[in-house]
Amino acid sequence: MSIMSYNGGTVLAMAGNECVCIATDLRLGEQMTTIATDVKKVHKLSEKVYVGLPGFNSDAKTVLDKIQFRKSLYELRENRKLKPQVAATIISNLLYQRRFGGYFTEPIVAGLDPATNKPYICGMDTIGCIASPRDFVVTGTGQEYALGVCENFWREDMNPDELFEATAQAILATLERDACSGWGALVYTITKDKVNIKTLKARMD
Amino acid sequence: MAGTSFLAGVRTKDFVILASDKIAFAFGAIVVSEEDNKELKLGDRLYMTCMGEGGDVSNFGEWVMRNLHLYKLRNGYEISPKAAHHWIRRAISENLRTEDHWQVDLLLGGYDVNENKAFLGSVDYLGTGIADQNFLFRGFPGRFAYAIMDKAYREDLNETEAIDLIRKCLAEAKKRFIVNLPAFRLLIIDKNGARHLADITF
Repeated sequence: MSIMSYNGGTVLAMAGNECVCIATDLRLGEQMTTIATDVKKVHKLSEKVYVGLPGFNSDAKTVLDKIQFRKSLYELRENRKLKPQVAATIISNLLYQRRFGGYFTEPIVAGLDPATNKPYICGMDTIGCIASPRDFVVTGTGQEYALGVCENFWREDMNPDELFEATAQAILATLERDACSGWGALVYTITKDKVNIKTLKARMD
Repeated sequence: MAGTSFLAGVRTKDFVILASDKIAFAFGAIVVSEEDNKELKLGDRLYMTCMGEGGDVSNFGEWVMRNLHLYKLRNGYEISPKAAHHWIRRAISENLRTEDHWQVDLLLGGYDVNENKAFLGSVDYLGTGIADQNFLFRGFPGRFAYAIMDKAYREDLNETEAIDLIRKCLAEAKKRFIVNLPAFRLLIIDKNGARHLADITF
């Protein structure tokens, strides 16, 4: 039994034309038993920057608390909005501080630059190595299933509707196959003027 | 990690009921007491039921009680259930990788006087916190109880119906769990405060 699959959960993010989509499942388990069905793994960091924290639930919550604290301090000291790249670097440094004996969560950052609205997505491992591709990132217990599906659905320069459709189909397909994720999905579509949150009902297990 | 105890909690908008067993074990197979009290009062409308390693339960429980009482002395008002849940979860997770880690699973039940809503949450020994749920269980018999509640729970249960539902879950534990848990304490918390109901015995 791996600590990363103790609680279960999958997060994936895709980038489009001046928009990003980030999706999460809603299951919280203790190995085989499901103990809650309304636990989302994606959290709003700022207006246009969202962070996904699957993996070990206790560490994910601890990391989230620390990131929110650092983001508030940053915005107070610098008097400017957080860019997604900066958020990613903050999280990466936080994780690397625990290089030996670290937090068991592999975060995803998805957002738009507050000024230019350029999309940015990235994923990291448990010690903060940032990988920032231009198409999609996946993490969690369903990551292998998600990678295959995303590869097929992603195209260059999708508009928000197409991006939502691609992300939604990808997370749904992943939830069908991964036993540790499920109980519905939440998809956030972040564009320059709004954030759309849609709840998807999949096989409820 | 399931111990040999069973904690149950059911909540509706107006009240939350916490049930805990009354048995204390030692050396895995000996019943030491049939009047064990797993409840800890954290506030006028906030109670915690705690199970796990014996010494950790009493040590952690009292430590939480004293600190939340200090919060009240410093600020002049009692801590809200949501904030208490957050504080307890942080305490467990911060000490998780140290010598001071506590092997306790707990349920937190209370009534939030500002939001006018009952609260039910749990924290396990790893620091996994779940807040604001309609029903939660800790311990192996929870597996049976979750299934019963998924089917029978409704948001508009009144007090009698909720107690009946809890009794069903406890009866299942008595029937199907190999460890004999014949008696449970019942506690109900609503906007008027906390009161004990008659123990459920089988």
